[in-house]
Amino acid sequence: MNRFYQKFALAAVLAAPPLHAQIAYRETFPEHRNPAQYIRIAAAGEKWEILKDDDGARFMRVTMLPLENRPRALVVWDLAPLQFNRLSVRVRVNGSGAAPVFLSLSASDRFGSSYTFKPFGKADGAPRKPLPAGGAWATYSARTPDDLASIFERGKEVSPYVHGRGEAVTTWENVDFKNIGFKTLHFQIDVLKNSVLMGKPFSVDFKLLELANDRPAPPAAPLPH
Amino acid sequence: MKFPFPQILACGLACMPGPAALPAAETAATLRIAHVAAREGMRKEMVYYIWDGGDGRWLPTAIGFAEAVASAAIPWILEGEPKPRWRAVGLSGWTSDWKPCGRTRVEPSTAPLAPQLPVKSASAQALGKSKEVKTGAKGELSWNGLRLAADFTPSSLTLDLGGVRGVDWLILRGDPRNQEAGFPQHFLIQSAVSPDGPWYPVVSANYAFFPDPEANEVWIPLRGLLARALRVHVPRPNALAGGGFGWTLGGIRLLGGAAPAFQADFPAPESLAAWNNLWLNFGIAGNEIHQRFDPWWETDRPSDGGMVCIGSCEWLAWGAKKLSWLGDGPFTKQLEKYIAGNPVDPDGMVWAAPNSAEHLDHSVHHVNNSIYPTAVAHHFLMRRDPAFLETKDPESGETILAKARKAMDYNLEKLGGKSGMLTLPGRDLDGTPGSHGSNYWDFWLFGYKCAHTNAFFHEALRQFAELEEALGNTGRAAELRALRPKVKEEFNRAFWNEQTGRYAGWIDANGKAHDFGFTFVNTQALAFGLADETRAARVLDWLDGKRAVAGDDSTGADIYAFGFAPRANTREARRGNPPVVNTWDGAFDIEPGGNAAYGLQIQNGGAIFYVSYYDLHGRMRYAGADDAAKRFSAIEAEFRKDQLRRDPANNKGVSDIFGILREFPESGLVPYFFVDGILGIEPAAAGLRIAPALPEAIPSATVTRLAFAGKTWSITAARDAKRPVADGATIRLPATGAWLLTPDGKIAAHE
Repeated sequence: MNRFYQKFALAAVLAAPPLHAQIAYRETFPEHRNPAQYIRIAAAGEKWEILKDDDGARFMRVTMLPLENRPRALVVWDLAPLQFNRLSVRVRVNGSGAAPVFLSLSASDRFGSSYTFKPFGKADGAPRKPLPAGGAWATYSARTPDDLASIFERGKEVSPYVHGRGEAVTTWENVDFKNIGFKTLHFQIDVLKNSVLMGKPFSVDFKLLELANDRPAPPAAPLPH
Repeated sequence: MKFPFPQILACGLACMPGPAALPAAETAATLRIAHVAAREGMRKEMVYYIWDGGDGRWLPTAIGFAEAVASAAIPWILEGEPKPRWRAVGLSGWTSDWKPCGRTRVEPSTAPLAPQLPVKSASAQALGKSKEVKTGAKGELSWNGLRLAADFTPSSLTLDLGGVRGVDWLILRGDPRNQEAGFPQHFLIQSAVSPDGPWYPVVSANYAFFPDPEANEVWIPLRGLLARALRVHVPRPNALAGGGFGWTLGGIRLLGGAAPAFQADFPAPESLAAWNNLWLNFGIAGNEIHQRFDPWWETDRPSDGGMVCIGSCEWLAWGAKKLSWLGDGPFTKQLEKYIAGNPVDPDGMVWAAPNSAEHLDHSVHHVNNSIYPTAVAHHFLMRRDPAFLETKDPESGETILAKARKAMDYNLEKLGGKSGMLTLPGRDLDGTPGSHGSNYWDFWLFGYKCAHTNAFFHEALRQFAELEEALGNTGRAAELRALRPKVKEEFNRAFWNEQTGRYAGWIDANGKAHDFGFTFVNTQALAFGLADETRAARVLDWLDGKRAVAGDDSTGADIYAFGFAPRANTREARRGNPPVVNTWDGAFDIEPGGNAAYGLQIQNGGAIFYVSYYDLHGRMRYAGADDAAKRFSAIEAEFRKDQLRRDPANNKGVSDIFGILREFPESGLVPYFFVDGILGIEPAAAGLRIAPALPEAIPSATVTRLAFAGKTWSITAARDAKRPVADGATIRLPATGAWLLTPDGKIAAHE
């Protein structure tokens, strides 16, 4: 048999995932998927487009135009319901000057529960920080349950924090964080009420969304429900 | 135990030796597995299943909800008791243990396993480079797989079939000689009608964290997909123990080659693929993701695609068109179950669904009183099974035939049909602001005298008359037929708008006509033959942008801006004074910037694909087959871009601009135009009427595996045929004139 060994030399394009995490979903906006099937924008989001970065990696640019009656843009990722407990995404703001632009995230599962994560740059007890200005990529990362701010099950809050006060009032012991079928991710981009960006278009780029689980993966045995 | 040909094994998986020993002649049995998701149903993320019959084959399913029941039909090739087992794989990467299949059964099969398809060439691609891979007679690959330096580097193995072929199975085999690289853990299957693409996803064949099949073959069902090329696309190679990344396959085979359902001497072979793959995707929804593992239920973004039908009455006549010609099988059984179970009130009013008289608990759709008898007539006349008509409603005990007759009587007596015009009763249906709307297009306040409802009534009279005549009730048939000219006359008197040169949507209880340039009303009116030649020409001139209607917001080429169908309306909803739309308690905002502003909502400047079915029929009837072919070519051009997998969102994040995927199984009517448009096949009282209308560029057209009156037929219309010739169940007849295939298999000229 005439055999040969096929090898493609390659430059490393992306850092390998941490050894202790198993990536379940990586968004690179590949050509074989139509982003219109799984990306939605709303409110101050005017349009999205897929572009290539200097390193050839594809990213999504969301052009937004904040107005007083719609100061926030919403970027929604629709997922086939998926379990993860780690999330990271790279974000870049363009054309905002020094005006602060903020990023926050919530997610929902297919049974109607919603999960609000701590916003970008938020440390316990401290005010949130804006995304870096000047066109630099920043990484937003979060994990469950550590970085969750609140959980609503069918409209009823079940989180240990009263939203906005950071005060523990209950526990999440009834939430099975190893078994959440996340269906949508809602990234929210907003500016301050009196921002100079009101009425001025600027853009926010998203790149390399990764959803992962700690190793070991959740056990194969059926879950006790 | 051995299952002599032809047999099918239903439910579990058989067991057996290796694939290399698969003699085609012995593969006539099929194993069907039904699996209740058991405790895996507690998983909230999606899963796919892998069936293992123990015969050396693994069969993976598409993804779906873990709590749903999944099933499989597997060609069973080996002797012995089937001992199938299954495992589930979650999208995040967990894998269940193997578990025995609960229910398995063997059924008779009608066809042997498809033969192996020759492969012209194979090649591997990564990083913009391509390299040939040699293949052996049994699909063995002469390579050592792909090695890549970085994770998440996409790569592919591409097979060029040398021509467009129907593919039933793609069979992958690992390479025991190269266990380092291993079978790809993440892969998806793509197809193309050219080796250079564009590549379309086989959405049902997209696997993450696929377990190592070791010595087993992985059989991926493609269900007759027409393709010139297929590729295994690996978005993420395996991490290798010694460093680096890669994957390999020891062999790859394709089974298939059956004649496609729709055949014609198209100028380009891509057209053949387009017609058949449109049918595969939107007709039988074969290679789609069904989140409940049931093609009668919708699937949410981002996995939404084609589906077979919806069990509510609004879809039953369309479902009958789509499914009745497919013969015995689960689709027919399910359709009949829905028809039998759809309630009809004692006075004859047809309910919207088994659990609701009103559509979405919002308003009565009296058009269902025409849809129901139409569905019953079409289905019976195609199948000629008296038992269907005698099937009893599980609740009321009434037969389907009795319910259909009551439904028609309700049209005639309660809704005023004998006058030639159905008039919808009640404040909710009076067509004025504040009413509720009365049909499928429930954003608009169609009501009182509704063009949509009356067009369906006109069609129901035709089809139900055929049914009554077939049952020997010639007097009743004549009575129904005699009413049709009156309905046509009243339709034109009520709805024709001389000023705009098109039909209005409805006349409200105050006598006001509502004309927003409803393309779906006008295409349907033409398809049903409700216009005269002059009016039809004016309608088509408007649709084609040859004339602009004063006050319209969409004119010229913009009417067909989306390519696959005309915009639903050419005049914005907000032009109404006041607007005659149902905002569903404010959920819809039709003003500029709103979520239902013009062009951002399927019923207000957006488009629904099924309208093209009526558009094609109307054009064929009034402007000829070539005009219809021109429109279909435009649809085909759109299909070639992305197979119409389009569900974009509007500025409010709502994906309601196009009605193609998800809860739009009526999309499958468009390729069905090949059957009842190009070949002109329509059931009638005396048999199957065949009145072909071939476009100039197509010398002949064939539909295969068409079930009529308990027999499966292949029917060809050919321009060079002088007279009809029947050879068993194969018929070849002239492309002009009208012909009749009787239930006992005789064919003759038909008036």
